[in-house]
Amino acid sequence: MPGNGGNDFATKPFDKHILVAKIRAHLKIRALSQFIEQQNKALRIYQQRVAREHAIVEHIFSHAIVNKPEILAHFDYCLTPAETFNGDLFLCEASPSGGIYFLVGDFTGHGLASAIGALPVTRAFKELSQQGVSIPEFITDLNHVLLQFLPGDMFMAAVVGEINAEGNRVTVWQGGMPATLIPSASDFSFRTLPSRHMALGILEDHELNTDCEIIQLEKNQQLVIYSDGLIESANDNNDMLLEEGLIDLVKMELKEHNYISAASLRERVANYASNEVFDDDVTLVVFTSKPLNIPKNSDFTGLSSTHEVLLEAQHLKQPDILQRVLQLAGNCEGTHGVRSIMYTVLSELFSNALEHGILALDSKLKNDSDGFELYYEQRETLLQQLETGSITIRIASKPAKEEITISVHDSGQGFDWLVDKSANHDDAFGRGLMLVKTLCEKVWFEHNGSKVSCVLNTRNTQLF
Amino acid sequence: MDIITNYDAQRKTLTIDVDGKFDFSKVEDFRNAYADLDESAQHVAVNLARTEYMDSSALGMLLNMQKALAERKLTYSIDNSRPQVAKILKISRFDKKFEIR
Repeated sequence: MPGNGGNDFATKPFDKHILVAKIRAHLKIRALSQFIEQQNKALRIYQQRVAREHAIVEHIFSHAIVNKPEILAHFDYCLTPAETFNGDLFLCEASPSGGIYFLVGDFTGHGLASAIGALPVTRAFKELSQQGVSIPEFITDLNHVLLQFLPGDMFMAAVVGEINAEGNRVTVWQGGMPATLIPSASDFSFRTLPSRHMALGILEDHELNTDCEIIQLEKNQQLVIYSDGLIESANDNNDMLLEEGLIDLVKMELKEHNYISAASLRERVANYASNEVFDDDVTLVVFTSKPLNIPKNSDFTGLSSTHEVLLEAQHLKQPDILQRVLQLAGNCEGTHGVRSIMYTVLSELFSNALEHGILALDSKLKNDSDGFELYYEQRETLLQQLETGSITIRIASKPAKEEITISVHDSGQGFDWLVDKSANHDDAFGRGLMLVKTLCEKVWFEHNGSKVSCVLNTRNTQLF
Repeated sequence: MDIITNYDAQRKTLTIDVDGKFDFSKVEDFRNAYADLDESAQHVAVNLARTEYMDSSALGMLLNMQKALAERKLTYSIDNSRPQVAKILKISRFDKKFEIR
C-alpha cells in the first residue's frame, strides 16, 4: 500500500498496456535513484578526500608558518582569514644585530590557492633573516623566489621592514599594500607611507626597484600596517571604508585611548561594516616603538671545526672544484656573517696557488684586452695537461674566538712575497693579494711563499 | 648561475645581471654579455643584486670590458651590490671607473 511505503498500486482487472507502462516508469525511477545514490556516494568520497587533503595542508601550514612567540610579542596584531587558508601573511624574525625583520604580505585572491605561495616565502624569509641581509637584498631575493614559484597571474603585495635594536628606526620597502599609517605620538597629525613599488613576483630582477624608506620613530610612536581586506569592508550604503575612513577610526581610537590597539581598531572597522564577516583576508599589525631588548643567545656558541682538503691534479681539473671548496667553507659554523668576504679570500688564495704556484702563469699577460682572454685560455690548456701538483686548503673556524683561519699551500716553487706588486688602478691584474691583505686581520707566508695563511675576523659584520 | 643581459633601447642601456658567484668561471659568459653591444648603446649597467661574492678576476673582467669598449662613448655603473660585495669594490677603488649605485 502507498501509505506503507509503496510507490504505486494497481487494481484488478489489469490493463496490460497500463501495467507495462507503470513497470517501465518504475524501472526508470529505480535507475535514476540508483544513479543519484552512486553520485552521492562519489561526492561523499570526494568531500572526505578534500577534507583530508585540507587537514594535511593545514597541518603543514601550521607547522611551516610559525613565528617565534618571543619575537611576535613585540607586535599587536589581528589575523582574520576569509576562509580556512589565509592569503595574507605576517612573518617576523630576529635579526643577527638584535633587531627584527617583518613582512606583511597579501597574495592575489584568497583561500588555499593563494595561501600556497606563503610556503616558499616563509622559507626564504627565515633564511634571509638569519643571514642578516639588507632590506634591498631581502626584496631582491623574495621577488626571485616568487617569480620562480608562482604562476604568472599570482603575486604578493607586501610591506617588508627591519626594525633596529633600539626600536626607533624602521627601514621599509612597500609594494602594492595600502598606505602604512604612522600617527604622531604628540599631536593628531599623520604620516602615511603609500605603496611605492609594484607587488613582488611581477618584475624581473633588473626591473625591480628596491628603494626603501627610513622611518624614525619617537618612543611609543606606532606603526600601523594592514591588508586591503580591512579597508574594503562596506557599510549599509555600500561605501567602502578606504584609507581616509580608517584614518578617522584611528583618530577616534587615539582620542579615546591615546593608544591604538589592534583588536579595538578591528572592532571599530567591524562596527562600520554592514556585514560582520569580512569578505577578504584581513591582517592588522601594530608596532609600538621601544627598545627591543631581544636576548642575545649568548649561551650558544657555534662549533669549532677544521676542514683540510687535499686537491690533486685530477681534482684541480674539475671545473666546479672551487665552488665545492667554497660550499664546504660556507657550511662551517661561525662563518655566516662574513660568508661573501670569506669566499673572496678563498677564491683569491686558490687562484694564486693554482695559476702562479702550479701553472706558473704570468699575470702581466692580462695587461691588454686580448691578453686577458689569452691568460684564461692558457690557464685552461695548462690545466688540462696537468699531471702532478697539489693544493692543500685548510679552513679552521673558531666561533668562540670569532675568527676563521685559512691556509693554502701549493706544491709549486713559491714566490718572492716581499716585493710589493701593488696594482695600478687601470691594470686588470694584481689586485688579489691587496684585497686579501685588506680584508684579513693578518696575512703571513711560509715555505718561500708557497704557503699563505690568513686570519679573518667574523665579528666585523658592520661593514661600513 | 648565469649571466643575463637585457638591452633597453629607449634608455639606450645594456644591463648585465650576474647571478651567484662572480669569479673566473664567468670569464667567457661575461665577455659574451657585451660582445654584440647595440650601436645605439650609451650606458652599461652591471647589476650585482644577486651576486653572492666576487674576486679579483671579476674585477679584472669589469676593467677588461671597459678596455674592450674603449672606442665607444659609454658610461658605466655597478648597481645594487650587497654590502660585502660593495666592500670589495670600495677597497679596489672601483668608484673611480664605475658609477656605484
